[in-house]
Amino acid sequence: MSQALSTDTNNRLQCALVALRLGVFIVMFMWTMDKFINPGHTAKVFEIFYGIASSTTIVYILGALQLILVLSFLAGIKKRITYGIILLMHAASTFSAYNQYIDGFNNLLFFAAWPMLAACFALYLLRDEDVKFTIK
Amino acid sequence: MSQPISPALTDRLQNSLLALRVGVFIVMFIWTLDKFVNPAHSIGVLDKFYGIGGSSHMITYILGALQLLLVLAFVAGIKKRFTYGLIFLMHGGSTLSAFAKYADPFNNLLFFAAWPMWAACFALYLLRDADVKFTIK
Repeated sequence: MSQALSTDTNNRLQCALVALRLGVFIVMFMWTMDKFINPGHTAKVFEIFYGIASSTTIVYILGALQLILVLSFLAGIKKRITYGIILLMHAASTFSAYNQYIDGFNNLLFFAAWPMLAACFALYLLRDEDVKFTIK
Repeated sequence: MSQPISPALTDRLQNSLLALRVGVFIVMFIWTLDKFVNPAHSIGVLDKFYGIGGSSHMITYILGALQLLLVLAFVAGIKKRFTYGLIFLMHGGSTLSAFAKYADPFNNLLFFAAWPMWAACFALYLLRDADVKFTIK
């Protein structure tokens, strides 16, 4: 199917993909931990950004599932599924904050969602090439 | 030097790099505009995060103008080694200067998005020669 990349390009690509994976993981992991440390915050986020009412128990269950997901993502397990779900989840996060973009200069930090979305997209698109430090 | 890569992979790689470039551009562009819309904010950021006090509006405007040239050259893929390199270093400075925020992580969750953005800058710099889609030669 795909021809071999030159060693140099291949090395660069693999390093780039590890960096992207690690970067996305840091954010996803912190937001997962937040569900356990501060479930009230998550319940509020759900209500304000997604219009969904939830309870502490629901938040813990979601947190546990998300923890399994982000660790699989970091390890590069079942990439098509894990990278795909991470992409969809972060796309929902990014788009749900549309109010913040309208009042852009009071919400500058929200814009960093976009390059992170690009990183999720790149990882999904190039998942077959992302083999460095992954579990087969 | 480099062998030809399969068309499918080339396509995916170029689309990925374009997405990363546009994503990083959005953030850099908004922060550049902020220097003009709200120079007091930039002065506060320079003071608080970088320990550079006493900036004036004039300095902020000059920095903003230079940064505008840089981010436009970056999104157009002009002089990649230089523009991508500078963006990588600048955003590295931003990411690391917020260290106090990472120490109180759960009150500063939004700051963590700096890291995947830095990874995006890194990926773009590393793969700059392959990033040719919608760029100016």
